[in-house]
Order: sequence, then C-alpha cells, then structure tokens
Amino acid sequence: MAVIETIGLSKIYNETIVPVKALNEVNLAFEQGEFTSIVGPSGSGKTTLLNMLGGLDKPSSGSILINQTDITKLKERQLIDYRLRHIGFVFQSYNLIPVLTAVENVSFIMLLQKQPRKAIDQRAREILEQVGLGDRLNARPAQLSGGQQQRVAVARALASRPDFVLADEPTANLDTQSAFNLLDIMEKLNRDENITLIFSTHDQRVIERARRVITLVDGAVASDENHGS
Amino acid sequence: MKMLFILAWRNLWRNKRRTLITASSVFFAVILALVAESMTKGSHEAMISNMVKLSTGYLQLQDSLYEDEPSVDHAFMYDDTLKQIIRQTSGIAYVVPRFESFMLAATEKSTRPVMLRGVDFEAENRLNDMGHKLLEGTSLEAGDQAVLLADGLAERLKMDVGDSIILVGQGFRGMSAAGIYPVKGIMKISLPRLNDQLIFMPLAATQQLFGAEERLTALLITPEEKEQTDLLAQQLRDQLDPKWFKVLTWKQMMPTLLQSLELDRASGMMIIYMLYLVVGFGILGTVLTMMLERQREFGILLSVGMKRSQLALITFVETVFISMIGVAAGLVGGFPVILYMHHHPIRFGEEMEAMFETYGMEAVMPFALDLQVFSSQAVVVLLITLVIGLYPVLKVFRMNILKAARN
Repeated sequence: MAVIETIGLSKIYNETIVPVKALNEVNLAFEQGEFTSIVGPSGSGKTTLLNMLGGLDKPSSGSILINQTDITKLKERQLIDYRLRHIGFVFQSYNLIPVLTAVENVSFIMLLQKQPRKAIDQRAREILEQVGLGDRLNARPAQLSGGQQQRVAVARALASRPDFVLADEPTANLDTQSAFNLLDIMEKLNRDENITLIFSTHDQRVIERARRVITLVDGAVASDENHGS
Repeated sequence: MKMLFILAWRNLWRNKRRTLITASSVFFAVILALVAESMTKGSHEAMISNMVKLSTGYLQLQDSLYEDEPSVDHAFMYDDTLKQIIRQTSGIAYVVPRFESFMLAATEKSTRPVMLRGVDFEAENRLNDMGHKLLEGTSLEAGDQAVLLADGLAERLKMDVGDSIILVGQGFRGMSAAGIYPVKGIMKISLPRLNDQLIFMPLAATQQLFGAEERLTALLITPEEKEQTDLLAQQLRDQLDPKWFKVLTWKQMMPTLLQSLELDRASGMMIIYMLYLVVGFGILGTVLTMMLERQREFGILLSVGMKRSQLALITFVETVFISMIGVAAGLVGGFPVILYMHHHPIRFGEEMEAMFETYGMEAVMPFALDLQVFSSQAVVVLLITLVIGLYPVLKVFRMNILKAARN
C-alpha cells in the first residue's frame, strides 16, 4: 500500500491575475522505503510538489493522502504536528540552527516531539556516528564544512525516524566527493531504517543513485521510471 | 522549554555588538532615569521636610471649626482624655503643642500686626531645631513671661534685645488679651513670610495671655514614619469625634506646595519618558533588524515542525533578555552612583546658598536612596520591552512559512 499518494494534484499561482500552472493533475504514489528522485527543468514544479507533500503549501485542487489521511484538509496546527512527527526535511542550504552544536541540531526535532531526554541523546549521537561526524558532536555549523553541515542536516531529518524525508536539491552546494559521501549515507539510512526518501534534484549523481526517477515537465508527470535496486 | 530559552539566549550573542549596543542604550537610560528620579525625589523630600518643619508639621489636630475660621475661640481643650488618645495611638514619634493668633504689636513709635506663636520650646526644637536660629539674646524658659522676635519683625519695629513690646488682641471668648513683654532674644526664621511677623512666647504664658489655659489652636503630630502620615491621620480621625476635632495632613494644609511639587515631578517625568521613548525605539530597531535578518531561519524552523507559539516565545524572550541585561546593568551601575550622591549631595555655590536659605532650605541637592526609585525604573523599562516584544510575536503568528523560508 502507498504511504503517500497524490490525486489530481494541481497548483495554480496568481489565480486572479496571470495564472501560472505549477502543477497539473499530478497523480503519484510512493511506497514505504522508496528512494525517489523528482527531476525536471527549472520551473517544472519539483519544489512545488515537495512543498505540497511537506504540507508547506496548499494545492489549488486535488488531494494528498499520507497513510490514508488527506493532509490538504488539515488545519495549520494539525499540519505543524504532522510535519513534526512524519516528515524530515533536508534543504539545499543546510539551514542548521547556527547557535546550536551538531548534536543539539540533531536533537532539536526530537526535543520538539518531546521524546525522552536520554533517548534523544543516544539517538543523536548514534546517527551522527552513522553520518561520520562522531568526532564533531559539539561543533557549531560555522565550524563545519558544507559537506559536514549537510550531513548534520540529514542526521537531523532522519533522527526522529520520520515516515519520509523530503530533500530539496541536497547536493547542489556540495563538491563531488561530499555529494557522493552524502548519497552513500542517505542510501544506507534508507536501507537500514526503511525511510522513504524523495529528492528534488538536477544532480545527475543523485539521479543515478535513485531507484525511481519521476520527471516533471510544465507541472505534469512526463515519465516515471523504476531503475531497480 | 529549556531548549527554547537556551536558543533565545544564544541567539542574543550571534551579533554581540548589536546586543551590547542595545543593552547599553537601556543601561544608560536606566542610569539617567535613576539619577533624575532620585534627584527629584530627594529635593522634593527635602523641600517637604523643610516646609513641614517650619510651618505646619506633618499632621495637625485642630478644633473642627479652626480651619475655616482660625480664631482663638476655636482653640480646643488639650485635656487628659485627648492626651490619652494620642499616647495610645501607635506610630506617633512626638507631638508639638501650639497656641497661635494674630495680634497687634506696639512699641513707642510703631504698631504692626503680628503672629504670636505660643510654643513648648523643647517640643518645637525636636521638630525644627529652632534654637539654632537664635541671632541675639537667649532662648526662653518654660516659665518666662517674655518673647523672642523674628529678626525681620524686630527690624521693622526697630526693636532689640531688652526692649519691651506691647501685645494687644482678642482673647478667648470675648476676653481682651493685652500684655507687655520684654524681648529676650531675636531669631532668624527661614521663611520670609514668617520672618516679618512672628513672635514666640512660652506656651503657658500665651495661654494665660489669651485666658485659654490648657487650650491649643493646633497640636502638631510627627509620625514615626513620614510615609505613614495619611494612615496615622486616618487612625486619629477614627478615634476622635469629628464634631469637635479635625485631623489635617500637610498635603491638606499646603495644597499649593503639593501642586507645585507635582508639576515639577510631571515635567521631570516628561524628560524621563522621552528618554524611554528613545530607548524604546532603539530596542524596536534591533527587533526589526533581527526579524528581517532571520526571516528565512524562522521559515525553516516553522517548516520542520516548530509551533508558532514556540518561535514567538523565543523572539519575545530574546527581547526581554536584552532589556533585562540593560536594566540589571543599569541598576547595578546606578546604585553606587545614587549611594554616593545620597551621602555626598551636590552643594551649591554661595549665591545659590543665600537663595536656598531664604526658603529655609540647605543649599544642597540631595538624592533619595529609595528602593521604589530603582524598582519603578526597572518596571517601566520592562513594560516598554514587553510591549515591543509583542511585535515579533505578531509577526511570527502572521508569517507565511513558504515566503519566509524562501527569503
């Protein structure tokens, strides 16, 4: 059964002035543990789709079912809770909290979820070890390289064991080696923890690793290919 | 919750310079406000103290009709029952009995209206230290049948120590009051109005002159704590029959002094409020910049699942923290300044000294060391901050997450 399902998902910006159709009747389903890349040229609707799946933006029409719950019908307070408990986010610009250390950044979401302190500490350390930053637990973002910061961001997104992770161009600001390291880590976590990963990307390195590649053109699904494991 | 406070505290130090500049503006404003408020309060207290001591006392017990018609016919009997009530009322430091009336004073060459004040010198000295103002001659003893003249009056009547003065007036209940008394001394009275018309006589001799033995026109009551004056007045009113007695506070007896002090205080407060306005805008500027700079960060925090209320709390606490740092530093820095100025008040030069003394005041600018001055400044600044702190709270609640995150 699909964990995530979009049904006739459309998004039109500036509906009253000059309408721009960012998404047009998108129907997709994502299974648990999938590693999917959403690709397409600029303006094809990748980020809009990710924002919709993340509950950050409302569709103009259609619905998004997450575990059979239509999140387009949730109120803002319910959406916040939904994001907190079910989704991990990885952003292009890392977006770590600059005044918190690596381990505090990773703990942050779990603290918001009010998980037990001991479990948070243990999980934060464990996942930072897994992303190869066991020796940088107390470093602040400014003391880390871009690649290291993105690994902390991945650790933050995965630490609370969300149902799925949305990653918006996560390798765009990384050099090749850092990008490969990050992809290795994400692939391993995807396999070990069975977390669904959905990337929006232009990066061929990511596309090659993905087991499923969805191509968007002008807001519509142009192709949906399974590359196998 | 702890994490939110840690986050707020660390956020403050992301831009140390800006935080320190903002906190410094609060710091200097608090110090300036403390100094201004303490100076105003100190000088007002000194003025009140001088006026009260030389004129009305903090509280007066009078006959119920005396205030409207200050005649010796409205002198009240200071008998054992009344003395007992006064003795049993807590919070009274001491009392000063007076019998005073206008009379006509005559010498061989001139005649003038005067104010004769019959006093218990020992009690009067406790109130206003009048013995120190004797310019010539000697002070009066309780049993003396003699007078002391204010030097302004002595000059007008061209009298000196050893001369005799005739006093003529209306006695108690239609009797005539007349007598001739030797001038035993000449006194300096600080209030010019009184210096030109005041004659002192021992209380017993005055009561005898007016045929009003055991009667007083006023009993001045000094409270143990000046701040308790109104409370003490009410206690006495509760115990005394309003048909016969009236208890007045200095504020009721000298309304013009109170008004002028309030006016002076209001103008001082205006300056302080302007100071706070400037500080308020300073803090607001910092908050606005902080909000603009961190739009994206706020958007991300909301995206990943932070509640708006949690983010609003962080921004609010940051504003309060900046203010608290400034206020705390201002209070800590201001205390030694005020303490020093309290013990070493500003002394004015000779010219100013003469002017101050004309009004019965020492030529110094005293500073009040009052906890209320400190607490009120802290409360005002914190209130301003709380109001300013609402701005980021409102912004966070109205924030469009996507727009903010894309910023």
